[in-house]
Amino acid sequence: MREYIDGATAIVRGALAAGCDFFAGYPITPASGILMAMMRDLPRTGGVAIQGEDEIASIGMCIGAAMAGSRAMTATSGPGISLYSENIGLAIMGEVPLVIVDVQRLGPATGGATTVSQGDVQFVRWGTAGGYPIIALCPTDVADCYRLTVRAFELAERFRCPVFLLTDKEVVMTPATVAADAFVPLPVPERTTADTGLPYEFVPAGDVPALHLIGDGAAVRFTGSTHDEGAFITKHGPTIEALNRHLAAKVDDHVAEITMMDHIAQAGAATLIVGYGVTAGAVASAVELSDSPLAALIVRSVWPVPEEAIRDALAGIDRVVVPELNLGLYRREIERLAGDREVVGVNRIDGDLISPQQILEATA
Amino acid sequence: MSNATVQISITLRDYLRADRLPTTWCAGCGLGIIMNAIVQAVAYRRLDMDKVSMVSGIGCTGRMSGYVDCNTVHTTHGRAPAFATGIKLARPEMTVITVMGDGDAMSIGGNHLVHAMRRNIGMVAIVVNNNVYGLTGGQSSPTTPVGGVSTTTTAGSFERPMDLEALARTAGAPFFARATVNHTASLTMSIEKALTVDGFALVEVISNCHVIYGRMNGMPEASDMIAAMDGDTWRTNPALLKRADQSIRVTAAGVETAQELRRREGVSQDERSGRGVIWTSSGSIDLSHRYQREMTARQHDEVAT
Repeated sequence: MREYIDGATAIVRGALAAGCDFFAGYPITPASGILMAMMRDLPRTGGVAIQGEDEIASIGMCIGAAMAGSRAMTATSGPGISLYSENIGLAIMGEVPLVIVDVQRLGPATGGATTVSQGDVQFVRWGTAGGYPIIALCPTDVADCYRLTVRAFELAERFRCPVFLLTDKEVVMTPATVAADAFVPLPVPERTTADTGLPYEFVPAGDVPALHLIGDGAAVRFTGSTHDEGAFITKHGPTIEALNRHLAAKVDDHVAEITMMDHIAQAGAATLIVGYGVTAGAVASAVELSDSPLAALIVRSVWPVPEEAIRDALAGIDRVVVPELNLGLYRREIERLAGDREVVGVNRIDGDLISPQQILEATA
Repeated sequence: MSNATVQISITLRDYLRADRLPTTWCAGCGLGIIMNAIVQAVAYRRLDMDKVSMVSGIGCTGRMSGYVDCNTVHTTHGRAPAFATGIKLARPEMTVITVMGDGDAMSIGGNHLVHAMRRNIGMVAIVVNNNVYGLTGGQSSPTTPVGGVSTTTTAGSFERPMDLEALARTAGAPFFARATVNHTASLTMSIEKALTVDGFALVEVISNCHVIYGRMNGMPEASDMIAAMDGDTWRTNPALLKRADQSIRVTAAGVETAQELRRREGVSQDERSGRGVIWTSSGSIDLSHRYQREMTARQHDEVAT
């Protein structure tokens, strides 16, 4: 049994499987398919979907609903992430679980609405003021959209923070043949809530307090300002430092738990190809087509950078090839881990995909 | 129509986070009066504070959510109606109150305010209009009057101020009230009335920023600005006298018509130049319920069949 579906459909199925019951979005190619499917399907499952007046409102509605107990998701493309920016910060500071889908298109500005790109890979990482870590997962194909959407909800619940599903026009809008068993039911992510205690407890460092929800018993407080553990605004230096270190540590201290990657190790391989997202298919083909042994690493959790796993994969490697649909945005993360190894990019920004042959040329 | 009145007694401390007081607001600021009016209205409506959410944006007014002891959400500048919409759609049983300043609601958040009114999401939106950006240092706002001096219009503003009532009509809000911090009984009554509206209720409150705006415009004391809100009534304001006489009072709110309210509180209808305005359009239904679950699904099924 097989199906011919696109990534948008798989993302919606993943969201519903993960218990998503609130969606707000604003029309934008190539993410509109998710909005349309959610507006159609979410109410049938008991959820609420709304088309916002703009992207700022859409993410705001999602955060408000999440504070009131919904499992919320929104979807947009790069220009919409620009408008999400301030409220991404609010979700980080307010410790609100939220899944944000970025269907990348070629930019800057309006760019190419129907043109594939991986140009937002650093943008989602640094897309809001303050420089705090975020989590971003990068599905490689339609079936992976389903799995990683569910995983994004799990991580959002686990760490009380926004989690990006960083995908692109090609994966989301191009239908592919998928085995039906790719959509096996997965456990609905657990949620830890409390209606007593401190809503923003940040002790011990790096741990995540239970979620206090509006409407569940006693009144609760959320704020986007620097606050103490009780959500009261503070200018007390040591408290502010504890808060800000907590926001960073709860992601940075759990990289291993967040890490998702596929490592194709080959005996005798001296060259490692590192890819993510839509380039994964070409990377796998290149490994198969190569006359000499090649190793490959498909990074599915691009943020936080899975440094340990990448370092492990670099053992015995003297040349790294990083194919990307940008001018080398993620390559810099590999370069800083690669030491003296040669790191070369295979880069396209013309709207076409990278072929296995292009990767093989770079490995030679 | 009922004339029933209920005497209840409230203690403000029960509704505020007393340990957070005093507020950060300047002495004499109208925001204290407005916060008082809001919690009184909530008390008179006998609402459970655990089922009330106050959503605020950024600015002096945005700080109010830190002091009121209900569910509070202190959000980003201008976006309070969007967060409030999300809360209301997720928990329709929740009473949602958004508090915004004039810059918050009409400038940076104008789009969200317009569409919350257009959708008729059930919430009470209180816009504190003091003609200026106070917290950031006295910059001109969308309601700075022509000629008004601010730190960004040092020679006097020449931009036209925005008329929130006209905006409310155009955007389809079913309820609008304008009151001032000089007419506290009317103010409380307006908010109380707004809490009975099945849909979006907008309350504009004319407030005073004497410390920043007033000093730049020849009204350095709170009393100067409050007097300017209504030159005729500041000595003879019947609402003030009534409040002094009868500090605790409430009608069985929801049965009193706007006409009765006007007669009793001396609030004029549709006087665009005046400060006291209240109107309600009939047949309002909170559309937040239409987003809910089965109703939308059924609608889709009907389309499909």
